[in-house]
Amino acid sequence: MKNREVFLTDLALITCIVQRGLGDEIVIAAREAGALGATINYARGTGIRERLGFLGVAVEVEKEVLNIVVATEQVDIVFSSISLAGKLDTPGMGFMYVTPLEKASTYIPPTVVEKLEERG
Amino acid sequence: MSAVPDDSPTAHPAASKLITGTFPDDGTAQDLIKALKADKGIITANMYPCRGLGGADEPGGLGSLPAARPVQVVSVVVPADRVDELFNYICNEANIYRLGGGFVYQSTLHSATPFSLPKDIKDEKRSSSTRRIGAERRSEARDTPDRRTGDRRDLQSS
Repeated sequence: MKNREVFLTDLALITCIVQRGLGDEIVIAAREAGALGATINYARGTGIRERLGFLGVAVEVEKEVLNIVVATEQVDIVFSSISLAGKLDTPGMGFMYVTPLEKASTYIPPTVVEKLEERG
Repeated sequence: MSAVPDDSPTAHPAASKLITGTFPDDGTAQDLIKALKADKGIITANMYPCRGLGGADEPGGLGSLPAARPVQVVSVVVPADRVDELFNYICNEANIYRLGGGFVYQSTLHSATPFSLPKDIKDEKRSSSTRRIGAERRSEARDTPDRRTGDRRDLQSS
């Protein structure tokens, strides 16, 4: 079996939007819960500062958007870990959602592919 | 009665999928977007920079993360009936089947509007400096041994 024909299934994407600067802490928690990797990018959104305003001018709030791909069996534990680490139950801290993935593909070491072949 | 006029593109959304790829910042993403347009006629691709943390990265100290690497994320909205063809095309064109080559995943969309460009408008020319920087980065990536394995393991060539 060629590596290029191996697809990963049963995956989900956790997207978490938090205040800028909190991303690393959340990624650490996600990795400790079993997530392998993450991507982090910046965005602007609505937050406490915008609500309060500054000298009568609404301020857009800088956010960090985290995308973490995990196996579906790990979604709940990673989701909970992120929620705790990011204190997402506190108003204004952030929110997250899970998107089911149909399939994924990446480099898979030949030894793993061989094991998969043996299992059929 | 719908609030959207029947002749509007949004009145007839098409079944679509979203393919998202995370690639090393070596020009792969730019080349992929160009190739998608040239070879497959796909113009619904977008690219944005990210910090990337891979599962195979060397761990940092206790309670800290490995050093993040700059990556480029490409998201492409594709028609549902072409998703398999385009997924395989993206994987091969971006050469993800190598260590550190990236990660591509596919998710379903409820619907998407069609997108087209105005006709009779020529493509913007890339400056020679931009082309040179992209080529240099890819050349460096090819020549640099992988720091995790000590050698370059490219399944495409094997």
